[in-house]
Amino acid sequence: MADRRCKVVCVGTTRAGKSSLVQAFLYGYMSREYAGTVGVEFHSKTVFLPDGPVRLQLWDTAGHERFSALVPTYLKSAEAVLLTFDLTDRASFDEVTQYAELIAKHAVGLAPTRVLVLGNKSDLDDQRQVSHQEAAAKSIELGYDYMEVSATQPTNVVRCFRHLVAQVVAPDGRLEPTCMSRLRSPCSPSLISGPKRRS
Amino acid sequence: MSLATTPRFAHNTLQGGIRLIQQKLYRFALEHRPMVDRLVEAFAQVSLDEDDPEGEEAEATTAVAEDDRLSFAAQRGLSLSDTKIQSWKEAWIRKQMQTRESEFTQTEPLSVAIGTYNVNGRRPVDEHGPVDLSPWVAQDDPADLYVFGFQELDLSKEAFVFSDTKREEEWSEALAKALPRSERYVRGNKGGVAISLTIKDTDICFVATHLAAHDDAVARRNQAQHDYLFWLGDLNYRIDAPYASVRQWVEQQNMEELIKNDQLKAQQTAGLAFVRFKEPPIEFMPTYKFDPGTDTWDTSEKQRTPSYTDRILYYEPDEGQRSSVNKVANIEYTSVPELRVSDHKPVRARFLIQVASVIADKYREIYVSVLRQLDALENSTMPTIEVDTQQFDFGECKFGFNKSQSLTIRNTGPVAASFDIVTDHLETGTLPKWLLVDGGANVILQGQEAKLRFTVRISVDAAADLNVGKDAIHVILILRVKNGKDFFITIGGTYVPTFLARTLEDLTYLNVPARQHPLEPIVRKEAGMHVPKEIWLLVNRLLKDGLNNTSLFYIQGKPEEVDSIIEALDTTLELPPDISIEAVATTLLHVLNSLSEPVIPRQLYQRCMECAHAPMLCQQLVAELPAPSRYTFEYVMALLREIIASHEKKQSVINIFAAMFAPILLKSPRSGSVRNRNSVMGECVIGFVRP
Repeated sequence: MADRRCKVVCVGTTRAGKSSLVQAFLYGYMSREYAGTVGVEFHSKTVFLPDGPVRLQLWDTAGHERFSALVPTYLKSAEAVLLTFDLTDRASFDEVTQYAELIAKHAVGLAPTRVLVLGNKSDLDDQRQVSHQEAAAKSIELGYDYMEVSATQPTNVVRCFRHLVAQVVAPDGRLEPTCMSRLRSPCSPSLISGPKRRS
Repeated sequence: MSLATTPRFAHNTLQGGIRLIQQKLYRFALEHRPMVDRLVEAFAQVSLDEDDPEGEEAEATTAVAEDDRLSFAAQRGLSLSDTKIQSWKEAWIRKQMQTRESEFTQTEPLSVAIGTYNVNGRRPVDEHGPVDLSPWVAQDDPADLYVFGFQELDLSKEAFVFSDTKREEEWSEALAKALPRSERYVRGNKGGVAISLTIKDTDICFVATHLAAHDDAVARRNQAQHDYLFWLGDLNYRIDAPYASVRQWVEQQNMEELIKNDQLKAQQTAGLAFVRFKEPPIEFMPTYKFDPGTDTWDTSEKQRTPSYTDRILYYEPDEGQRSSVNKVANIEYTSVPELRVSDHKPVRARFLIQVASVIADKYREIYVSVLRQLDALENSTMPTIEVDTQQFDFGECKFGFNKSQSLTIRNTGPVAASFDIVTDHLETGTLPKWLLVDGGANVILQGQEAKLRFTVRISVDAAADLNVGKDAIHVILILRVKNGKDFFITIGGTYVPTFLARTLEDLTYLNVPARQHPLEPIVRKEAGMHVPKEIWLLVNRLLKDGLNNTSLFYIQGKPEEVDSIIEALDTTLELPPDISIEAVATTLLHVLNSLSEPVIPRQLYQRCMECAHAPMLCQQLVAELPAPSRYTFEYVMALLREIIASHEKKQSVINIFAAMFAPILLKSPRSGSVRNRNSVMGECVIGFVRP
C-alpha cells in the first residue's frame, strides 16, 4: 500500500473556529486564545481508516474578509475542503453559499462529496442561531455533507476529519488525484530581488 | 541442493512456497516482496472499530527522540526536494518498524542443519554396498530443517547435456534413508543454486555454489530480501602455503597456521569476497584432497595441498541494519572424515535461528504509533519564522514617490527556513508595477534574522495604471516559508492622482483639475481641446515671459518650484504666481517626459528613425500624427523656434535643443536602445526647430 496523502483546506468566515478545530484535531484539546490567522497555517496529521492510514496535510486559511481574494489560491489545489461556520452566528452561515461558489469556481473538478460543511460551537446550544435542519438542508442543496462539531469539548472533531478523508479514498484504496494546478510551483521565478540568492 | 523439514514446519514451508530459481538470483528481488510490505498487508486486514473516542488520535503524548528530531530537522533545513523528504520519511518509518520489530513479533527457535559435499562424480556406494550417509546427515537431535548442497554429482559428459541424471537420484535416495523421519518432506532442487523459503513470517535463503564464482552484489541483493541468508558449497579456496608446510601443520593439528593461510579468510579480511559473511570457527582438518576411499592425503603426482574447500557461511548485516529479531547461533561446524567415497570430506553445520511471526494487532498498534511520531516529528520540526509586522502603510503616494520600509523576519524554529514572496496581484503572479521587494539570501538560519525591503515607487508606468483605476496601492503578498506556513503581508497606500502619466489624448478631454477626477478612465465626450490645458499654460507663459531669456532650458528650475507648479496644475489648473521662468521651462520638460505615451507615439518611433535625414518625410509623418500629438508637437516646436530666433548663435542652440527634446518627444518601444540613437533622434527634431 503506497503512502496515501491528502491535502485538506479549511475555509470559512473569520471567527468560525477553523484554527480551533484543527488544534482540537491535532492535540485533542483546544489550546489557544483567539488570535486571528493572518496567513495560512500548515500541519501534518495521520488518520487511520479501516484500510490503512492516510496522511493529511492541513491548510488552515485566514478567514478575514480582507484576505478573501487569496482563498482561491489555496482552493485550487485542495483535495478535500472543510467549510466551517459558526452555529451561533447567522451571518457566518449566510457566507457558506459564497464559499460554495468559490469552491465550485476554483477547486475545479473537486467532487462535492469532498466538501464537508461544519457547524461549529455546537456546545453553545442556548446561543444557537442556525438550526440543524436548516444547515443540513442547505448543505444537501449544495451537494455537501453536513456535521456539527465543537472544538472546545471536543465533539465530533476526529470523526469529521475521518468522514471527509473516507470520501477521498477510492474503493480500491487509492487516493484519486484531483485536478491540480499549484501556485506553489517550484519553478516560478522569485519575486524578491537582491544579491546572493540561493534557491 | 536438497531441502527437508520436520512436520512441525512443513505446513508453513509448503504454504510459504519454495521458490527455486536457477542461476538468475536477481529474480528473487523481483518476486520476493520485502517483509514490511507483507506486514502492511497484514495490517490492512485488521479492521478498525469506528467509534474512536475523541482525542484518541491525539499526538500530544507522543514523544519523539531528540536525535530523530535533529536529523529530520536537518533534512528539512537543507531544503531538499519534496520527493527526497518523502523518501527520508519512508526510510524513517522502516527503520522505526525494524527497531521495534521485537515488539510486534513472537519468535521461536528453528534448528537448521546444513551440509555440503563435493562427491567427485562418485556413486553413493563402496565395496560394502550403499554408503550410509547418517554420520553426515543425522545427529542425535533432529533438526527442523535440512539443507544439503552437492557438487560434482555427475562428471560424465552426458550430465552436462541432460540435467537429470541417475547419479542424482541415487544420492537423493541415500539422503532420504539417512534423514530421520522426514522422508515425506524431501524436496530436491536439481541443479538449483538457491532456495528461498518462508517459515512463519521469516524469509530464509540458501545459496549453494561450486567454485568461488561469487558476486558480492548478488549476496547483498539476496540479503536485502531475506531475514537469513546461508551460503554453502565447495568454494574452492585453498591454503596458501607450500605443500610440505601444510602437511606438517596437518600432522601437528596446527589449526592456527592452517586457518591463517586460508585464502577465504584472507579475502574476507581484505574485504575482497564474502564481506559481512560469517563463518563458524573451523575446528576440523582440511576436507580436500584425499585418495578416494581412504583418509590418505592426495598421493597423486599433483600432490594437492590440503585445503578447506568446503564451507558454510551466513550473512551478518552491519550493526545498524541488524534486526532485533533475527539471530543466528551456531551449534556445530564440522567435517565428516568417515565418509570416504569422494576426494572431499563432507562438511555439516547446525544453526539455531529465530523465526518470527507477526502479531497483527500488535503490529498495527506500533505502526500507528510510529506514524503518529512522524506527525509529531513533522509538526515540531516545521520551519518557523516570526515577522515584526504584517501590514505596511505608505500613506500618500504621489507621482515620483519613492520610499522603502523593512520587514524583519526572525527564524524562531528548529531548522533553517527558506522563504519566498508569492502574489496573485491582478492575477498576474507578478509584483505590482509600483512595488519592489529587495532581500539578501532567502534562507535564514536558526535564531537569525533577515530583512525584506519593500519599496513603493510611483513611476510613469505605475501611475498610468493608478490614474485610471486599473491598479491601486494595495496588495497582499504571501510570505511563503518552505514546508511551513504562509504569512499574508498587506501593503497599502493612498494614491494621489495627477495629470502626469497620462496620454495627450486623455489630457485633452480632462476638463477638471486632475486631482478632482475620480480614479477611473477619462470619458471622451464632446470635443477635446487641441492641446492639453496644462501644456498650453506652460508654453503660453514661456512665450509671454521667456523669449528674451537666453538661459531658458539651460538653467534648471528649483525642484520645489517645479513641484509647486505641478501641484497647482493638478489642483487648480492655474500657474502659481511669482514663479521663476526657468522653473516653468523645467516643468514643461518634466511634463512632456512624464506622458504615458510620448508625443510621437512609440509605434511611430521606427518610422521616425528611418526618415530622420529627409525633412520632407518628417513633415509628412507629423502631419499624420493623431490630432493631440500633432498640435502639441507643433506648439512646442513653435515655442522653440521663437526662443532660437532670439539667440545669436542659432546653430549651437538648435543642436542643444534637438538633443534635449528628442529623447523626450520620441521614445523607443524597447527600453535600453535609446542612448546610442540620440543623434539620429536629434536630426529628426532639428528639421522642426530651425526657424
